[in-house]
Amino acid sequence: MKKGFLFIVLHAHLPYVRHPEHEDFLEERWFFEAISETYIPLIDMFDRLLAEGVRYRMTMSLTPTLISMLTDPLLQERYVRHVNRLIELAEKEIVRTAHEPAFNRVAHMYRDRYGRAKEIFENRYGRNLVSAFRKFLDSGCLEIITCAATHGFLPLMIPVQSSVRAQIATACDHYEKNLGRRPQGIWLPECGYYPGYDQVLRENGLRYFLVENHGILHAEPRPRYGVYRPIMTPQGVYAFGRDTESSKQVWSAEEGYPGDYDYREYYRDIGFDLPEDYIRPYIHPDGIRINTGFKYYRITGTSDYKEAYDPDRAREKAASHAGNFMFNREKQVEYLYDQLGFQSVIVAPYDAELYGHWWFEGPQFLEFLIRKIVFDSPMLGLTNGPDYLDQFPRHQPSEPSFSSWGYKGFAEVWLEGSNDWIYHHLHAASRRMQELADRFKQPSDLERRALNQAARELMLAESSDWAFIMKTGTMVPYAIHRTREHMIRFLRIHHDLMNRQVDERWLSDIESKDNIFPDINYHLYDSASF
Amino acid sequence: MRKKSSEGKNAGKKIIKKIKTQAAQTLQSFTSKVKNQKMSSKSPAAKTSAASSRHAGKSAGAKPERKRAKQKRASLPVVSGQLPGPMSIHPARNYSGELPFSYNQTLLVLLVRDPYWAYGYWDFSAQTWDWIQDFFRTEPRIRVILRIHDLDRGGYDDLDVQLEAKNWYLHLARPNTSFEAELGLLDSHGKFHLIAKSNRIRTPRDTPSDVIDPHWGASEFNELYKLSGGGKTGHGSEFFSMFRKR
Repeated sequence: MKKGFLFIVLHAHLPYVRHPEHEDFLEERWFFEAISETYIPLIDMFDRLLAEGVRYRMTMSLTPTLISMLTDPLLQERYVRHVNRLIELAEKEIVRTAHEPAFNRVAHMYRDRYGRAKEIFENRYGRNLVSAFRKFLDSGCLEIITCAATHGFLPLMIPVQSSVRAQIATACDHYEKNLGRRPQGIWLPECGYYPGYDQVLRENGLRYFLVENHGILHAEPRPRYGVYRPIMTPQGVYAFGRDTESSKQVWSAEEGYPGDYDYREYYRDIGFDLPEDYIRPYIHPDGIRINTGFKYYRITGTSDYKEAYDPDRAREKAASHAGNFMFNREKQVEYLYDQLGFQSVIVAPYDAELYGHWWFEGPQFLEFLIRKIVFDSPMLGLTNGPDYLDQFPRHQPSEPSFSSWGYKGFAEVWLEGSNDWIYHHLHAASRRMQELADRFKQPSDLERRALNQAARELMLAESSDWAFIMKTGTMVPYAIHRTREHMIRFLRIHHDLMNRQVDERWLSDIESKDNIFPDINYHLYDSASF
Repeated sequence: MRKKSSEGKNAGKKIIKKIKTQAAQTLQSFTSKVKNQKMSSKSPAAKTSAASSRHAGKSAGAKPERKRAKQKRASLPVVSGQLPGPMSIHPARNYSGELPFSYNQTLLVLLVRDPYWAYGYWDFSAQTWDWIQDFFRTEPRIRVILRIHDLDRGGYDDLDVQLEAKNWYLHLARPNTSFEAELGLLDSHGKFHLIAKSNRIRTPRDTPSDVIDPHWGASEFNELYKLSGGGKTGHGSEFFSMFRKR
C-alpha cells in the first residue's frame, strides 16, 4: 500500500495570438517555441511510455486558447514553415561548427531534434497535436483538465458574474468538442479562486480544481490535513492545494534543479550572439534579435564564463535530480504517514513551458521521475484528480480562501499601476454584453453573428495575459494594443447593434481575424441564465 | 518607470483641459483644485509595494492592534494611492482609437486586491455630472469623499479623493473583513450627498482560520501548517525571479 501520492500537473497555456494579416508576426513565435520545446518533447515521452506499457498518472491542463491555436490550420501551416527554417539553420550550424567538436555535437543534436519535431508534428499526428493529447487521455494515464475560456483572472471579475459564467461554460463546451467528453477538473487561471466560485464550477459538472497553498491553509474551518489532502467546498467541489516543498525544488532561484551548472544556459542564444549577416533570416525580419532556440552553452557558473553544453552530462544530471526529487517526496509522504497517520497527496503543479523551454532538460527529468516512481518506489504512487477522489471519496468540508499563485499570492500582479486602468473598460463591456444578451432574444442571422462576435471580443480582451505582460514589462505595447483593439471592436459591435446598423463587411473581416470559439453562445451572458 | 510618470503628467494636463471645456466658467474653484494637485513622481506600483512590504512580516506578532470600540466614526488607518492619470489617457496613446473616458453610467465598483488593499473605480452619467457641477457652483468648499464602511465592526472612514482620477487604491488594512464604499460630496455642514454606492467586498484572511470543525479536529495543524509551507504566502511562484536573476 502506498503511503502517499504525487499529483503532478502541467499547465499548458498560451494567449490567443493569431495574425493572418501579417506574414511573420513576432508574438506567434511563442506558439512555435512552445510546440518545439515543450509540447512535442512531452508528447514524445508520453508515446514512449504508452508503447512500453508504463502505467503512469499525470495531469495536464490545456487551455481553450491553446487548443484553438493547435487546431488552427493557418498556425499549423506556419509552424511547419517555422520548423523547416530551423532545420535549415541547423544544417548551416553543423557546417559552421565543423571544426569545433564540442559545439558541432550540439549542432547535430538540434538538427536531430527539429527533424524529429517535424516528423512527429506532420507525419505522426497530421499537424494536430490535440489528437495526440486525446490519445493519451483515452489511455487513462494522462488526465486533461480545462481552464477558463481565455484565461481571464476570475477574482477580478466579481462585479461581472456573467463573464465568469461565460468563461467557464465556454471552456467546458470547447473541451467537450475537442476531447469528446466533459472535463472533470479545471485549472483556474493563475489558480485565482474567490469564495463562491465553486457554484459555477459545480453547475458545469466539474469535480475538482487546484488552488494555491494558502487557499487551503487559510480555509475555514481549519483543514485537518493542511495542504496534504483536498477539501470539499460548500458546493461539493474538491479543492487541491499546492505543496510548496515540491514546487521549490523545481522553481526556486536559489535551490531549484534548473539552475544546475550542467544544464543548458537559456541566455546564450545564437539569435543574439552571432553576426547579423549570418543569422538575419532566422530572427525577426525587421532585424530584431530574438531567441532561435539554438543555445550552445551550459550554465557553468554564476559568472559570464560559459562552457560548451554537454548533452550526456546534462542527461545524467536530470536522472540524478529525478532520483533526488523522488527521494524527497518519499520522505515527505513517509513522515506524514508514519508520524501523522494519514496517506497524503502532494500536489505539484507547474507551468508546462518550464519543462523544455525554460529548463531544457525538464522533459528528461520528468520521464526519469515517472519511471522511477512507477517501478522503483514502494511507498510513493502517482495520481490524478479522478483516481484520487475515486479512491478517497471523503474529505473535510471547508471553504477555500481567496488566493492565487501569482507573486504575493492574491491579485496584485493583475491589479497595479501598469494595468489597473483596464478593469473599468472590461467591466463596462461585460455589462453591455449582458444588456445585448437580454435585449436580443430573437436576433436575425446577421445580428446573431454580431452578438457572438461581441462575446469573442469581450473574452479576448479579458485574457489575463495582457495585464500580466503589462506588469512584467516584456511586450507591453502588444498587450495594450490587444486590450484596446478588442475593446474597440466590442464597442463598435455594441453600437452597431443598438442602432440596428451592423456592417456586414467589417463584421466578416473581424470574424476571420478573431475567429476563436466558432460555437460561442452569446446567451451565456443573459441575466436570466443565472 | 520614468516614462510612465511623464506620460502621467501629460495625462493630467489633458484631463484638466477636458474638464475646463466641459465645465462652466463658474467652476474656477474646482479647476484650481485640479491645477494644484500634486502628482506623485513615484509610480503607484512602487507605493503599493512599499506599503505592502510593511505587512510582509506576516507572523501573528506583526499584526497591529485591532481592538476598536463600535463608534460611528471608526478611525481606520486608511491611506490612499493616486494613479498617474485617468485611465483613458494611458501610455497607449500611439494606437488609433481612444477608449471612452466615460461609459455614461453612474457607479462605484470595488475590487479586492489582497488582505489589506482594495481598488475602486467610478464613473458618471451625464446627468450625474451636471448634478455634481451644480454642487460645485453653489458650494465651493465641498469635498469629494469616498466613505468606506467597515461592515464587521461598524463605523466608517472618509477619504478625500480627486473626482477626475476616477479610480483609487484603498489601504483597508483589515483582513477577513467586509466593506462597502460610497462616493459622495460632503458639504460644509457635514451633510453627505451620495453619488454612488459600491458593491460589497470581503478581504481575505492573512492567517489560518480560528474555526475548528469538531468532527475533524485539527490537533497537528501547527506542524502541518509549517510542513505545508504556511507563512510563505506569495513565495510559491518564484519563476520570474529565477529567470530574471540570470
